[in-house]
Parts: sequence; structure tokens; C-alpha cells
Amino acid sequence: MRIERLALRHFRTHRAPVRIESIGPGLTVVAGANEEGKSTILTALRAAFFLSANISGDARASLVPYGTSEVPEVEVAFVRGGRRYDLRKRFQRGGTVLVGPDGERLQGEPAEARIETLLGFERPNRASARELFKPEHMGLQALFWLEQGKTFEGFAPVAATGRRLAGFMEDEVGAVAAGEAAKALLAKVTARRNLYYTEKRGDPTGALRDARIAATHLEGEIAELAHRREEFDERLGQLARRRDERRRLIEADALGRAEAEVRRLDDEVERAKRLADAHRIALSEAEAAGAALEVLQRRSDERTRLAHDLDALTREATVLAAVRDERAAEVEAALVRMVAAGDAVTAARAARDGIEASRARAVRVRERAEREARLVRLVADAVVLEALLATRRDKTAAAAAIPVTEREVEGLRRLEAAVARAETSLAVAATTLRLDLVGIEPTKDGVPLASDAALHMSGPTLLGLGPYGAIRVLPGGEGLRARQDAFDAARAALAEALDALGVPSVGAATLQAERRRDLSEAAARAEAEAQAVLRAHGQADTDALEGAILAERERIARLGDAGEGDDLAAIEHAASAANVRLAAAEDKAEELRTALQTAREASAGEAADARTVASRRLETEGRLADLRADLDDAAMAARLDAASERSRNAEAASRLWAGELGRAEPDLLRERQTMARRRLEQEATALRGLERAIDALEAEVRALGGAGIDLALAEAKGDFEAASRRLERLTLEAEAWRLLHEEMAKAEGRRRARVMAPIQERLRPYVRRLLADAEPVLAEDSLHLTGLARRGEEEAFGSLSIGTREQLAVLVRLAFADLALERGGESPCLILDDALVYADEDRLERMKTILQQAAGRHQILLLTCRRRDYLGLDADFRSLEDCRTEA
Amino acid sequence: MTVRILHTADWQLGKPFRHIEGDAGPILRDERFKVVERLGALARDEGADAILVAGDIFDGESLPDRHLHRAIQAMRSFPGPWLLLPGNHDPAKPGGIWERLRRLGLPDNVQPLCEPGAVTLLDGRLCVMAAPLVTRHAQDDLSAWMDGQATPGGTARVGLVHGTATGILPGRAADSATNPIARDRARSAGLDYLALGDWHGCLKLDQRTWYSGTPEPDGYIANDSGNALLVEIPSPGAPPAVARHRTAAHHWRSIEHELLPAEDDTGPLRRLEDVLEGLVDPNGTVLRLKLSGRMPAGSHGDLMALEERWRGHLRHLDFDDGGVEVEADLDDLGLLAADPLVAEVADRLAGLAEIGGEESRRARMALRFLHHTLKEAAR
Repeated sequence: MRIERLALRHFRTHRAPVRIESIGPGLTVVAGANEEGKSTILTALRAAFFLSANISGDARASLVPYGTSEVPEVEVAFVRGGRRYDLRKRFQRGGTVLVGPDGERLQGEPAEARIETLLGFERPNRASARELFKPEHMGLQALFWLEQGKTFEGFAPVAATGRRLAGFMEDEVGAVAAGEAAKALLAKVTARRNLYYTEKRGDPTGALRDARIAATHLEGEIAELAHRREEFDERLGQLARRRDERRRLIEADALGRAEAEVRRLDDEVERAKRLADAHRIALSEAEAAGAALEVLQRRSDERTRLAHDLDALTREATVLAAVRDERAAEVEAALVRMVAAGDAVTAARAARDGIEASRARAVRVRERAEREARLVRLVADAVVLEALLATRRDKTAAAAAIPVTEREVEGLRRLEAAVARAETSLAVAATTLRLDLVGIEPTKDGVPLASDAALHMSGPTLLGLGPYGAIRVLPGGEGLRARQDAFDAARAALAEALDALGVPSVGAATLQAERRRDLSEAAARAEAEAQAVLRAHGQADTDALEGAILAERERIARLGDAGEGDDLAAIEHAASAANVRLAAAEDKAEELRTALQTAREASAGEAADARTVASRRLETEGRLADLRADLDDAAMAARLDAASERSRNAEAASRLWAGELGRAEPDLLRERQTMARRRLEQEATALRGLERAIDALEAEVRALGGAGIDLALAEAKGDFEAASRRLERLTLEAEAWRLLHEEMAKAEGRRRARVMAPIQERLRPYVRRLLADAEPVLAEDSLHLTGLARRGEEEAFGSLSIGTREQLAVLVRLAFADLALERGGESPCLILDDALVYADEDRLERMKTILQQAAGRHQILLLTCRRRDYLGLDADFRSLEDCRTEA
Repeated sequence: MTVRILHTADWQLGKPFRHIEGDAGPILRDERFKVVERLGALARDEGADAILVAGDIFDGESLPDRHLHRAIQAMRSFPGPWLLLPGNHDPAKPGGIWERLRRLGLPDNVQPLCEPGAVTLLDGRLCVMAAPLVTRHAQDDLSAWMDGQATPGGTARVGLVHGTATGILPGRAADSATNPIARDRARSAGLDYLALGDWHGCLKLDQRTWYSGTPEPDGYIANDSGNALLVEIPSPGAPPAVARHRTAAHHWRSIEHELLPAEDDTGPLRRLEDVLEGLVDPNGTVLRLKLSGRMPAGSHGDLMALEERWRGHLRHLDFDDGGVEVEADLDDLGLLAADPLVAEVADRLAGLAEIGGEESRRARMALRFLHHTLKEAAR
């Protein structure tokens, strides 16, 4: 379709007429400022084609200029199928006039109908302002008219007209012949399929789901009832077993037998009690007889023991008498030996005393000799001591006569050192003159000097040079005067000290001091030797030594003249032997005294024993006589025999009853009696419990039987069978519908794929010119461009930038336009209302190139507020202002 | 001297028939009580001395008291003795249904035989030897004791047993039968007549041994059920005269019918209509109709109409047309021919229908739905 002319007035913002005349087949740019009414041009075009002139209400009011009651009016001249039409539409009843190529003039409804046929759309029955220009009411052409601000809002127009596109292509190309009937059929099949399965997940729903739930529920109910039925069977079984048990108990008369056993054991226990009583009596009698026998036996035994004791005591007394005699003889002999030993001791003691006297005399002789020798040594040492003390006195006096001490010498030496230091200091500051004269005898201050002498001058000096006169030297070194004074003072101090000691020099003083020291040392040595002599005799001084000499002489005088002494060593030996002999004699005497004492003590003990035995013998004899006086021995023996006989008989009777009692096993009997009674009680309890259990089970079984479980189970099984059949039938139906739906959907998919292929083929080059590596992705069901695939990754359309989406929207239209042209032989008119406002410079240039090339095939009308953006295009530039004319 | 007894069995009172959908289930359940009343009337009318019921009087051991009361009430229709033998559905378990029945108050003429043994009645003219089941299943032949059972001279000896006569019953393996009964028990025990229960059809094993079958049919097996046997024993040792009396109110029929697409000018359903018209008592018939064969798609609506019509005529119709293959008469539908997509789908489904098995069933039905939908769309 191609639009050649457009005029409008009284249309929305355009109260004044606007005329765009002679629109060419290529690119036309209509520029206008914002709010100038560019978009109204597109709206007017849509209204002319797709709205009935008869519209009313708010739909019509939305077309009327605000605040007026004027009739909106649009005129369009267009070419469709190579034929030119003039359409004039005044929005009032019957306001449509269509003049065809052959002059045919249609007005009103026929004109509207012809337009519908020409453009292939269906008007809505009624339209409100909000529903104006819905894609489904505008036909294929509307796809190519992009409204400002909406070009990037997805591809709703494409979706809405997709079916028409397909139809268009099928009609035009005949590639796929899927018709409306198939689509309606698919819709019906889908609806039926959706009665059984959810649309998205394909889960069972509706009657199918209900049938499944019902069958599952019934299965659960059957399982529950079967379980209850098993419980019922179990209770019936329990009841049968309990009744069997009761029957067996009754048949076996367990209770009666238990009672009989109790009675029997009661009798047995009673008999055992009687036996126990008899045994107890016999036992008592045997004990009494035994006790009597025991008493008699004890008396007999006592009598026998006493006789035996008497014999033993008699024998013991005889033995003791013999022993006493032997002991008396032993004491007598001991006394004799004791006297002899005393004599021996006396003799030994006298011999020893004699030897001791000789030994004392010999000792005194030896002491006197020793003291006399010591006196001699004392006297001699006293002489030596005197000489030493004299030497000490002489030496001490000589030393004291020398006045110079070593300390004073030390002082002189310090003064002499001070003189030397002063002299050295003076020499350092003094003028030094070394003479080297030949043939001249020099003098200094008139004193001759050696011709090669070195002179140190510290004061004015006159050097005589012989015939050559003299030289006066006036030394002027730093501090020379002071140094000279110090030197003079030091020398004066030394001279004064020497004078005081009366010595000419320091050397002479030193010699005197050494002499004085030698004399002092000699006096000290004499004193030390004198002290050594005193120490040798243990005395402090000379007087003490003298005292010691006198004391020694007095002790010697006291010892007197002892004469000649015996050999002290021999005497010492004899004394030792005498002491040994005395000790031996004393030991022997002590031994004999002890033996005598022992014999005497033994004799006393034995005498006491003999008295005791005699006493006991008398007592025993008396007691035995008393017993025999009561009952003689023969009578005693007879009574003992009789008691023994009685005891034996009683014990035999007791054993007899004990045997009987043992065989009766009374303990066992009592235990068995207890067990039998317990068993009787248990049997009775068991029977009562069984009766109660049977009663309870019977009640339970009656209740369960009356509950109609079998009926309910049979009903549930019947219901389940019916439900299963229904489910099976519904499942078959559902699966059949699903199969039919799947097959139809697959066929439709294949058909759609065939439909999409030509669109995709034409879109791909456009997209690649914009985005080199991108592949367009179209939705199978709507022909939507759903996104782009780049390097295997798919990007959703919505995630692309607004600019890219806007540009792709234009490209998709171009692709469809190309397809329509190629397959149908006629291209649509493309109208783009500010459709590229988000494009950057590069993209805009690319898009302009694409549009320029497309304009060679299609009529393109660009409405824009940015005229300069499109300069450079080979286009017919119009200004909206220029198109506006006065009414 | 002649003894006349009415032999019946397998009443299974309380059987719910819940698998029978619709109104028929409750009616069938109710009919099982009514037939007891008819049996009483029959015995009375035929001058029977006693009614012997050979087991399975009740459908289960746990039934509500109202069912027991109703059974007692139904047996008031005959004043003579009713001898009831516990079977595998209602074994004589201690504390079980028979004790409950007694507690509810049985008329004196109704006598459950819950223990094996001989019962003499009719003033010594008749001795009934009963072998009740006390469990659902017994592995031993409970009637064996009858061989040695002595009876006074001049007494008719009749056995009453519930179980499987070994090696005779159709469909039951000879070696796997529970509750077995020696097939020659009548001979070995010197019985004048052996009244058996458990097999729901009427069946003569020998001159003296019969299954009476259930008096009111309850299944589709064609085994001549719905009868009671009037047995006349002229004298002990003499062959009994056995007369079959119809007692059923309903017929259970199972028909398998193959549709042929164009058998004559009257269409593929005519023969089926004839078969159905041939039913003797449609209102008393419980019918299972299983269809197979082929049918033009255009006739499917007619088949649906037929189904609905006969649901109204019959007591109950169990209708199964899953085996019917709809012929793809696509050419009859111009609409189809105009739409290659539909034709493609129809071709694929037809191909799937040839595979066999469940997939074929689905495909056949899907094809039928396709036709149906197209036809609807065309209208």
C-alpha cells in the first residue's frame, strides 16, 4: 500500500487544516516541533482507515479538538493492489466516502466495508476511547506504523497480527495451508485436554484428578477395612483359643484335681505332724536317760580318778624323800669346798701386797734422778739468758746514739728530688750555648770552660772569649726568673735540712741511717733468743726461771736419798702375775659360794614339794573314803550298767520315730502343700481370668461383627472396582485427548516453523548490519522477536538497551515489509514516529543507511522533531508548519 | 414316607453390589433378601418338609444386625425347618455371626448347624448330616466322617456340605481346591442325597449329588444360577427326584459383540440392536456389553445414543466400546480435506492405532475425539 496524500482538520490538536500532498514512493521526512501534532498525523491516518465514521461517545470525543463541537475530518489518497483510492471520512453518521479507481463512489457502511476488505481487518462492534486502535482491529498494515514512545515496548502489534501475517503469507505464498479451522480445532482440543491436565505442569486435574483421588482414597479405605477385618479375625481366633482353653480346663478338671491334691497333702502333712510329736517325745525320753547315765558315769569316773590320784601322790612322796637326802649331802660337801677357797684367796692377796711395796720404792728412785738432771739444765740456761740480755742492752744503746733515722733520710731524698725537678725546669727555659772554639779558652762569668762545652744559661752571663773579648748573655725565656727562684729555694731547703742533721750530704745521711738499723736488728735478735730459752723451760722471765730452779731443788730435797731401786720392769711383771692369781682364787671362791646357795635353795623347794604332796594325798584319801562310804564300788558298777541299758533303749526308740518322720519328709510335704494350694488358687484365677477374657472377647466380637466390616469392605471393594473402571475410562480419555493435543500442537509447531523461516531469513541481514554477530530469535507461537543469540548465548529482548530494542523494532518491520513485497508483490507503507530517538550517533548512521536502502523498495514516512538528524538522506523533507493551511 | 426337601445355597445376604454403578446396586442387594421369601413360598407351595441351605447364607462374618434381622424375617415365610449350614463366607467361628444370630432370637424352626454331626428331624424320617465350615478355608474333606455315620433304618440320609467337589467344577483346579469334597461322597456315605453349596450355578454331579447354585444370580458367569432344587426322596435308598425351580428376579448376561462397518444398508449398529432386542427380560437384566470391531466415524454418535437408550431399558448396563476402532472416513468430512494440518494429525494417529497395545487404544480414542470435535465444529 502506498499513501499519496493526507489531509485533516478539526482533528485533535489540528483544528486548522493540515495537508501533506504528493507523498512520494520513497522516503519522506515530516519535521515538527514537540507538541506540534506529528503523532496526531499518525492517529488521523489510523482513524481514517480503522475507525468507523459512526463512532460516538468518548471514542469520538477523543478525536474532537478540545472545547469544540466540530466534526473531525480526514482525507487519504492511497494505492492498494496497484489501484488508487480516495477516502474521505467525516466522523459523523454515514460520513465515509470512498472513491475507487474506476470512479465508483461508496458512502457510509458500504464504504466502510470496502475499506475493511481492502486492508483485511475487522472493526470492533463498539470502541471506547481507551480501546481505540487495538492491534487486532487494525489489520496487518498497523504493524508497520510505529507510534512514538512505543516502538521499543515489545512487539504486541506483531503478536496481535501474527496470525494475520501467517494468513497473509499462506494466502500469498501458499507455503503452508493451515487454516483457521485447524486453529479453532486446536483450541477446542486444548480446552478438552485442559479439562484433564493442568496447562503448565500437565498434572491431572478436574475429573481425572478427582477419579484418582477417589481411587486412592478407596484403596486406603480398603486397606483400613482389611486391617479391621484382620483384627476381627484375630479376635475370633483369640476367642476360639480361649474357649478351647476353657474347654480343656473343664474337661481336664484341673480345678478338681488341684483341690484333691490339696486335700491329700493336707492329710499327709497332718500325719507328719503326728510323727513329729512322737519323735519329739521319744527324743525327750532318750535325753533324760542319757542325762541320768551321764550323772552316774561322772560319779564313777570321779571315784576312779581319785584312786588313781592317790596312787600317784604316794609314788611322788616316796621319790621326794629320796631326793631330800641326796640334797643334804650335796650342801655339806659344798661348804667344805667353800672354806678351802677362802684360804686360797687370802694367800694370793698377801703375795700381791708384797710385790706392790717393792714397786713403789723403785718408782721414787727413778723420779729423783730425773729431777736432778732437769735442775742442771735449768742452771745452764739461766747463764745463757743473762748473756743474751746483756747483748740486747748494748746494741740498743748504740743505735740510740745515731741521730739520723730512715724517715729523715726519706725527707732529705724528697728535698733532693725537688731540687732536681727545679733544675730541670730551669734548664728547659735556659739558653743553651754549645761552644766550638779553636785556640781560645772560654770563661763563664770569668770561670773557664771547656772549649767545646755546652752552656745552659738562665741568667745574665758573661762569656769570656779570651783575646777576643767577652760575650754578655742575657737569657730571656718564659718564666725564667721564677724558675731560677724555685731552683734556688729548693737548694736552700735541702741545705737547711742537711745542716739540721749534721750531715754533709744526702749520701752521708743514708749511711748513718743504715748503721742505726743494723744495731737495732742485733738487739732484737738477742731478745728473741732470750725468749726462746725462757719458753724452753716454760717460764715468763728471768725471775720465774730463777724460781723454778729453787723449786726443783726443794723437790729433790724432799725425795731424800732413796738408795738403789729394784728393776722396775721385773717388779711390774711380778705384780701383774700376783694380781692374776688373786683374781682366779676369788672367782673360784665365788663359784663355790653360788653352788652352795643353789643347793640350799633346791633343798628348800624340795622340802616344800614334799609337804604339798603329803597334804594332797591326805585330802584325796579322805574324799575317796567318803565316796565309798556312800556307795561301794560294786553297787556303783551295777547302777551304772542299769542306767546305760535304759539310755540305749530310749535312743533306739527315738531313732525309730526319726526314721518314720524322715521318710514322711514333712518339709517337702509342706512345700508341696503350699504349691498345691497356690496351684489351686492359680487354676481358679486362670479360669476366672479366662471367663472374663472370653466375656470381653465375646462382647468385642459381637461389636465388631455388628459393625458390618465385611459389608463395608465389600462395599469399598465394589466402589473401588467402579472407581477403577471410571479412572481407567477417564485415563484413557485423558490420554487420548493429550495425545491428540500433542499431535496437533506438534503439527502446528512444524507449520509455524515453516511460517517463521521466511521472516527470519529476511530479518537476519538487517540485524547483522546493526550487530555483526547477532542472530534474531523469534517466538514460535507469536512471531515475537524474543531476543538475540550471540556466541551461543541468548539475550532476552527485555534485557537489551532501549535504543537497541527500538532499532530492532524498526528492523523487524522492514523484514516483514520485504517479505510482503517479495511474496505479495506490494509493499506496505512504513510510518515511523520519532522511532529512533534513543540511537547513538553510530547506530543512527547505520539505521539511516538501512532506511535509505529500504526506501528504494518501500514507502517510508518519517515523523520527527529532529530534522537535522536525518539530513544527508535522499528524502523529501517537509515541515509540518508548512503543511498547515488556513481554514 | 416320602421326604421332600428344598435344596438351596449361596444366598450371600448383604452382598452390596457397589461395583454396579447407579440405581441397580441397591436393588440387587435388596433382591437377595426377597429371594429368601420366594424360597419360603416355594417350599410352602410345593409341600416341602424342610429347607436345606448349603452354606454362605451371609456374604460375610461382620454384617450389621439389621441384615440378620431381615434374614430372620425373610425365613418366616416358611414354617417348616430351615437348616442353615455355615460356609466359607460365614464360617461357624466361636463368637461369630451364628452366635450373634442366635442372640438376636431365632425362630424355633430355624436351625444353624454349626457343628459337624447328624440331626434327625421329621419324626425320624430325615437325618441331615452337616459338615459346617468353621474357618474360611479347610484343607481336609469335612464330610469324610459321614462314611461311618450310622442312622436308624427307615431314615432318609441327606448330606449337607459347602465346598468344592474335587475335579469337577469348571475353572477350578482339581489339586488346588480349598474346602474339598470327595465327588463320590454320596455313594461312600450311603447318602440318599448330598446337598452341596459354593458353586453358584445349578449343577448335577450324579444322581444323588447336586449343587443348587445361588437362588439370585450375582455374576456374569453363565452357569445356570438363579434356581432352587426340590428333592423328593421316596424312601431311603431310592433314587431321589430332583426338580429345578427358577427363583431369580434378574438375569446376568455378558455379551461380546463385534461391529462390522457396513454389513448392510441399515448401518453397523443394526445387528447389535437385534441382539439387544432379543433379550428376554430387559428390565430384569444386568448386562455387560463389550464391543469390538470397526465403525465409521459418522456412526459414533449413533452408538452413544444406543448406549443411552439401553441404559434406560436394562436393570444395568456395563458398556465397554474401548475395543471399537473408528474408521478414518476423512473424505466424508470436507472440512478435514481442506486442512492439511488436521489430515496430518489424523494420519499419524491412524498409524499409531496400528501399533497395538495401549498406545493403539489411546490413538483409536484420540482419532474418535478428533472426528467428534471436527463434527462439532462443522455443526
